Amino acid sequence: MKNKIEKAIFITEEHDFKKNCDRIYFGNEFCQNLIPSLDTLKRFYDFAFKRKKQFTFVTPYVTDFGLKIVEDALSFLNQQGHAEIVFNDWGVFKLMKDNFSNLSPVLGRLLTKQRRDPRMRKIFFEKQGFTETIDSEGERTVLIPRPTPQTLYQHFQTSLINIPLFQKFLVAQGIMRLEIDNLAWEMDIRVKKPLKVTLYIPYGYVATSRKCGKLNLTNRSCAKKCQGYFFKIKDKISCFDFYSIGNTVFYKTEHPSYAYLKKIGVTRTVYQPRLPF
Amino acid sequence: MRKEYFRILAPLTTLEDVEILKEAGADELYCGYVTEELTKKWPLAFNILNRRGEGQSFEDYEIFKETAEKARKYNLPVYVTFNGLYTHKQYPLLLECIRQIERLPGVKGIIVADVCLLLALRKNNFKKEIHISAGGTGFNSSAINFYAGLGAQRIIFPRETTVHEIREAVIKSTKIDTEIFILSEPCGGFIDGLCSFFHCYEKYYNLDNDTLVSLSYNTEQEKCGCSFYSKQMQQGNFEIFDARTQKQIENRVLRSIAARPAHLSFGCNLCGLYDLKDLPIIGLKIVGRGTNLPYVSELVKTLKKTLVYLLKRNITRKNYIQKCKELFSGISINNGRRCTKFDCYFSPHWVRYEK
Repeated sequence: MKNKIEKAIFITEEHDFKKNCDRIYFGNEFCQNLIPSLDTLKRFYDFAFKRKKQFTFVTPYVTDFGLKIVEDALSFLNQQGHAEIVFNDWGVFKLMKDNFSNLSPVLGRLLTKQRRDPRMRKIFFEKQGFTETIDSEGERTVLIPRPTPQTLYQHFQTSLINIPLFQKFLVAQGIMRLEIDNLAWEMDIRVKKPLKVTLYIPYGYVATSRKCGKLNLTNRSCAKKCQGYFFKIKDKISCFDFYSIGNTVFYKTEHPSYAYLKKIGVTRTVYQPRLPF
Repeated sequence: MRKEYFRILAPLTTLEDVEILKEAGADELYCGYVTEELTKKWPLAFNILNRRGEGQSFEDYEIFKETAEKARKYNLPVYVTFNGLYTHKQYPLLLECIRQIERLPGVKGIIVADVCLLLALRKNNFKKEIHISAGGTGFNSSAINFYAGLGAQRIIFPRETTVHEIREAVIKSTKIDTEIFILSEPCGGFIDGLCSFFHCYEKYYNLDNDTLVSLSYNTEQEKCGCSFYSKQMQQGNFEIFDARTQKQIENRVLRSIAARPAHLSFGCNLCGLYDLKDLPIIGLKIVGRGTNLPYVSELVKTLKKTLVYLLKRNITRKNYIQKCKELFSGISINNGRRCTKFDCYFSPHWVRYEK
């Protein structure tokens, strides 16, 4: 069907799979220690193939060490004939472009540079014109409110993906799809064909680190605690929940309406049944 | 004649800084410049225009022009940061701002994080150097080659890159200038180019002795993601879940660790220079636009002395580190905390996978 929005599911284990999806996403966007081994990749590739689902392999930002691991995975997928590769590192894209012509590159959500922090919602909509007078330690403190300009909100609604020059560059490089998160406010997305847009739901990422030990409180290097536990942080001011797993912090949004997805030109959604680690 | 391995880049905030930083030993300067038109629409406080808040960038063209000229006379190239992530509506004013400073002989180049701005500069036939900021997340040799292919002359490694990773990327990549952070300000549990926590740094105005008047966006929020995260964890505003079953669990040990004061900041990174000294020239960027000048100049001066010592023949690692400790003993770095492997962003401690 021409206007159908393609449904993809991001799986980290086989039982995450849902029959009604059109495509399977597999891999990791945030950590080179979680790039699947070649055996695991083959297993999930076969898993998708047997169920007649399209396959998308997701890759993280990498150092040269990680680049070698990605290269092996891309080499395998390139030999299979065709696969879609989400890249979140321009180095991975260059590697793919120079060496693996059977693969279709997709610009990952780490490179579409949206401003995501959901706490901004309160600043845009509730704090403009707010006045407060505080007396502390005998000194009078007066806060003179400064409303945030409309242009600031407009800035947060979009990103570099709306810029024609950037879109032209992507197409010229053979990148025909880009991926974004669902923001906590209405987005303004204007991506022209032949470029296509993917939207991740329900988790959007806010920030990522290489010091996961600081976030997961172990204060040590990777011990794959991301496979063990995660934190749900309840921010009382913004009323948003944040999810900290491994080296990354996420937020969660409701599933957007079909009309909204059509309005912003989304042609594929990627459903993450769990935090994508 | 000894090969020059390192160049010190110092932050420039006012006209008066130039002479003092030159005397301290800076080789290059970097700063922010914004126009009134830009700041009206996208307030500086939100760190959108160049990743710095209010009072940390030049805002008056004539003053900036005089500063760049003064720097030129002192033989200090100036690099201007345009390392925000820009949207379509910002481009006309942004490019106009860049055109203004491109004409100044003292400005040697600009620092960008955004691939699209790099493309726009190329399209507009920008004549000066373009450096890729840490926000460009050039972690590997292939990314460096990608940026070099688009016309970048220098790449600044993300703060979280280890010495080994820097070496590998430099050796394997196209011959392009590189730069790393040194004596970093507390910042960045998260990767600069991959952090979309909002930041809001406002300047406060003390109008008289009795009244402090602050123009405020009243965000009520912590000013950056690191402090937000640390505070929430310390206050215990979190629940723990099993990653596989997705069910809530309790863990007293984690709660007790979370209650302790946390540091998501980085350290000085001086030790790492020992392993980089044989590489081609590397820029050493001292973070701190808007930081007080006496402190910055002291850092520059001491770093210069450290480099002289580092580049002596037959210096051992142990002696070098001992010398660093001696030289920096009187200066508060790393927020005054004791040097540990936990704080150092060059340290492989954070990225090694322990089975």
